[in-house]
Amino acid sequence: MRAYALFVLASLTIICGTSDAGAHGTAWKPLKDADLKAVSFKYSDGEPMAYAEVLVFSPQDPKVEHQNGRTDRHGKFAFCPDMPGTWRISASDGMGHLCQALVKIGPEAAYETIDDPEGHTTGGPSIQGSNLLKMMAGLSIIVNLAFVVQFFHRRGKVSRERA
Amino acid sequence: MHISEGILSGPVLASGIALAAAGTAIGLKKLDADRIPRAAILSAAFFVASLIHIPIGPSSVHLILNGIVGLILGWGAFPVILVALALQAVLFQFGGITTLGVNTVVMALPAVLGYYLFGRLVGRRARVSLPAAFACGAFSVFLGAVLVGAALAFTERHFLKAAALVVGAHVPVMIIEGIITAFCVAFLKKVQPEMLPGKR
Repeated sequence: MRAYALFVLASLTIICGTSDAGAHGTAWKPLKDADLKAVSFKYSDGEPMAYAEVLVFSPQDPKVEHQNGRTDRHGKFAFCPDMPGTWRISASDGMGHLCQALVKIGPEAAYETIDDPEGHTTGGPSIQGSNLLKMMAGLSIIVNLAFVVQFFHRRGKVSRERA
Repeated sequence: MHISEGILSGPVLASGIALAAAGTAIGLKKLDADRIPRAAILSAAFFVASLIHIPIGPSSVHLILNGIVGLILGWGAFPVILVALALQAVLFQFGGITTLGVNTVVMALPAVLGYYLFGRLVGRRARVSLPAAFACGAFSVFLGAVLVGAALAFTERHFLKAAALVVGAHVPVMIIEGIITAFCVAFLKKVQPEMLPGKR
């Protein structure tokens, strides 16, 4: 009986000793730069979209995210595309601000963007120029609009008085 | 508080456009010729206020000034804010063109409600008018944040989480806006009290 128990124990030891215990272990290795693609998100005033919620959608499945995570404190996010095609990466800060990036991955996994490589803004047509000039333009439009409205008001009033 | 394009669903955008159109029509009808210069100045102030950013942790929020706009113009806040938001969307990509209706409702409707809730109190003595002005400024920002949460909720996002996030991020703005509104009301009571609703 004792010999039998020892035999079973020895057999189990040999089997378990030769089995792959890697399922419970962890390991890491650095990836090559070519495997990684990164996107930077920012608000229209230049501030980074820090810690924004990011969803990555592959060309194969536009509905179920391939990866999710958050941007870092500088608004940057990295992912590893595993197939060529157009990848969609969306960043949302949960307060109504959303930015979507379309990244085209070629067969050789070359990294290129569909739109302007300098950066793409969402939310309406973009007008080049410094913020100060844009602000002056906006104020000028408001003032001129007020003049136009008041001109037509007064013209209508004068017409009514003449009539 | 500007909602970007691509977030809200079609029905929410359509509702926003309809409500903003209705509010703007009422506002234009109630805005007489004598108040147009005043409306232009407030529209310009609203336009510039969004460029003043207040850092909150990793993010930042901006001033809105819808409280003082509502107190002075009432329903006239709708066309004034609509024009400013349209220019912000085109020039600075704040918000968007398709979300213009929703953004207008989010900021102008609290302004109008603030006018009706606090307008009569603002014309009274300083002991009543200044706290009322502060409350109007803070309330307008608070209700705007809640409306943003509601707009996100109707697009199948969690209302409480979204509203809590937006309201939480705008608490400093509520306080600052309340102070600015109180200062403006105190100044107007001295120089031109007839601009305030309780004094008309």
